[in-house]
Amino acid sequence: MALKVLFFVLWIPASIVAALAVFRLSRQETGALPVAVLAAAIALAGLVVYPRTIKNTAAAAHRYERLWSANKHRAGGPWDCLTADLHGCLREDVWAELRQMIPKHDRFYLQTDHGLIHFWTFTSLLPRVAVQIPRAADWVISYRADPEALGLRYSKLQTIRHVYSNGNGSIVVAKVAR
Amino acid sequence: MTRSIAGLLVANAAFLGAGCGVVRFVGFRLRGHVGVAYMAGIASVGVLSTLMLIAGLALHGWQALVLCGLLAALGLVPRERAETPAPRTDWRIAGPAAGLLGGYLAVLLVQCVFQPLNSWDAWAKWTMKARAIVLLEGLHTSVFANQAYRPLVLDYPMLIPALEVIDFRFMGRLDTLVIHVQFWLLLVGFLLAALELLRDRVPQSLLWPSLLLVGTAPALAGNLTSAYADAPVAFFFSLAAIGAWRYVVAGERSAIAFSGLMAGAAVATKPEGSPFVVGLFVLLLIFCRVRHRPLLPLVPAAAWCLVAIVPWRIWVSQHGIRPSTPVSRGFDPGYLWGRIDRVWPSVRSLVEKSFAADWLAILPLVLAAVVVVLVWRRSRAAALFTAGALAIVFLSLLWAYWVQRPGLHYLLSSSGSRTVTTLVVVAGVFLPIVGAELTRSRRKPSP
Repeated sequence: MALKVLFFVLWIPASIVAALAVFRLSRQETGALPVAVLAAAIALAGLVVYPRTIKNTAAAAHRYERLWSANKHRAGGPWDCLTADLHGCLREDVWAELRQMIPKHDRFYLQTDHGLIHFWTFTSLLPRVAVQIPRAADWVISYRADPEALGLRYSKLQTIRHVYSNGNGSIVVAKVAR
Repeated sequence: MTRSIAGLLVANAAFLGAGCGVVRFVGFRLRGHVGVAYMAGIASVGVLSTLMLIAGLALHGWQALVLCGLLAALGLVPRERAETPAPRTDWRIAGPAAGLLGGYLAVLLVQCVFQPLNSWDAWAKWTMKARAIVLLEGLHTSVFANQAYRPLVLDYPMLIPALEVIDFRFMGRLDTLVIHVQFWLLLVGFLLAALELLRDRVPQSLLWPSLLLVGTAPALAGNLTSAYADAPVAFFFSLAAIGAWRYVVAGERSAIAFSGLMAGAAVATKPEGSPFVVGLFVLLLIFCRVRHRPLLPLVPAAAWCLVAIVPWRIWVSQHGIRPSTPVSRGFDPGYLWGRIDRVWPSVRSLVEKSFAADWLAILPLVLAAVVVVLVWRRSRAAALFTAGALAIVFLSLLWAYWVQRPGLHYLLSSSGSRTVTTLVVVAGVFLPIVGAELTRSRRKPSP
């Protein structure tokens, strides 16, 4: 840790020295003082945060690689982490189950005001497409909502639990009776 | 994963092949213009594949290969190609700068290989559209003209989804991790093209540090790895502006043709690309008049931009899709006055975001250089062109925030930090152009 701090502290004078080198080379190349000043300023602006940029990028790469590795062998199936902080991951198996239940060319109505589930269901259930009117649907998918409130008759109703990786949430999928 | 990466690289090799044909056709020599060729390939394949989607094709691998083959064949047309002698590389500057940039890009590549699709608009809108095209075998109205999918901003141009479709076809699967490598390749292609277009016109001691500064800006990496269209539109528009500038100063027809290609890609990538490009053409007209450059070469460039967007707008209108930006009302004084309270918060937000620390002082540096050149130097063209290009981008963004329907607070918080990407990237690539003016003699003191 101390070495890290030392490195980052020493990098600042190092980048100033590098910027001075750019200043000299620019002066040699163009013979113009203002160009050399500008070149040195550009170099300094880029160099001074360079180690931090590399460190953050490498940390992100490492974090994503760990998620990818964990997903390959995760008991209970892989997770889809849809937010930048990787919190609130969804269980991929939930949508795999939905895809298994709903035939490819059937239409579904999505009953939820939860944006993440709403859009993820759109994406994950393709080529099954959503409809705007419940009556036009072959299936109703409800999250934090009651499918009975839509006034339709259903031939089958099933609850899929543990929507989120932390075990929260459940989706009700209902086949509309024809 | 290996198969996905291999497929993506094959797709991009096809884009490069197409671009080689296109740039030879417009008058470039391939030697020393690989980046220009790659970006031209991406731009032309992107625009034409959007048209193919509208025509009812599903962009299968063989269709993309035929398209790339036809574009590559354009290179066989005999043309006069001007030799632009590249200056000798000064490795004392180029070596360390390229080393630092290469090291950073290598780490960023690893991130892109493993990056999950965890940015909301990417998985819910941009890449979702590409998935829909693959799974529904084309621009199927059950999704693309379905009111249930309206939040997907169905009127947005389709260049990015079309390129992703081709990538997915070559991967053989919908690999939403490896698709980020496409954006990384765009960054590399952009930096290389900028280097190739600028190296004979600006000092290397300005060019290399500027490319390092733009390429390693943390905010750019954040935008790029989100798989949104903000970084691509910034790359296309910046290269269009450089090409336009080369035409103004050197009268090269190949440069204006390349500028047109990039401008077409910009309008086919995001809605804000259209006002950017309209503004660029206005700027070009003014500078061409002042510098006595022929206006005729601007006609094919403008025509290509229309080809890039008009068929899509017709398709959108025919299918009754409500535009997300009320363009016609955007010029209604009554409508604009009624929303005047949106102007100042938008200005403040755009300034704050584009001056943010993660953009590494790019904008302050270029603005300082512009002011110094305007005040002290005899030659003002570069500074005025740069200021004009920046003003176009800034005013276009301001206008977009002014007229759009959603609440301003939501818009600014959800998009403010990424829409300024074009503003800052343009500033970054024009930094060496303005800086180069400082080498010229000072203005004579007035008697």
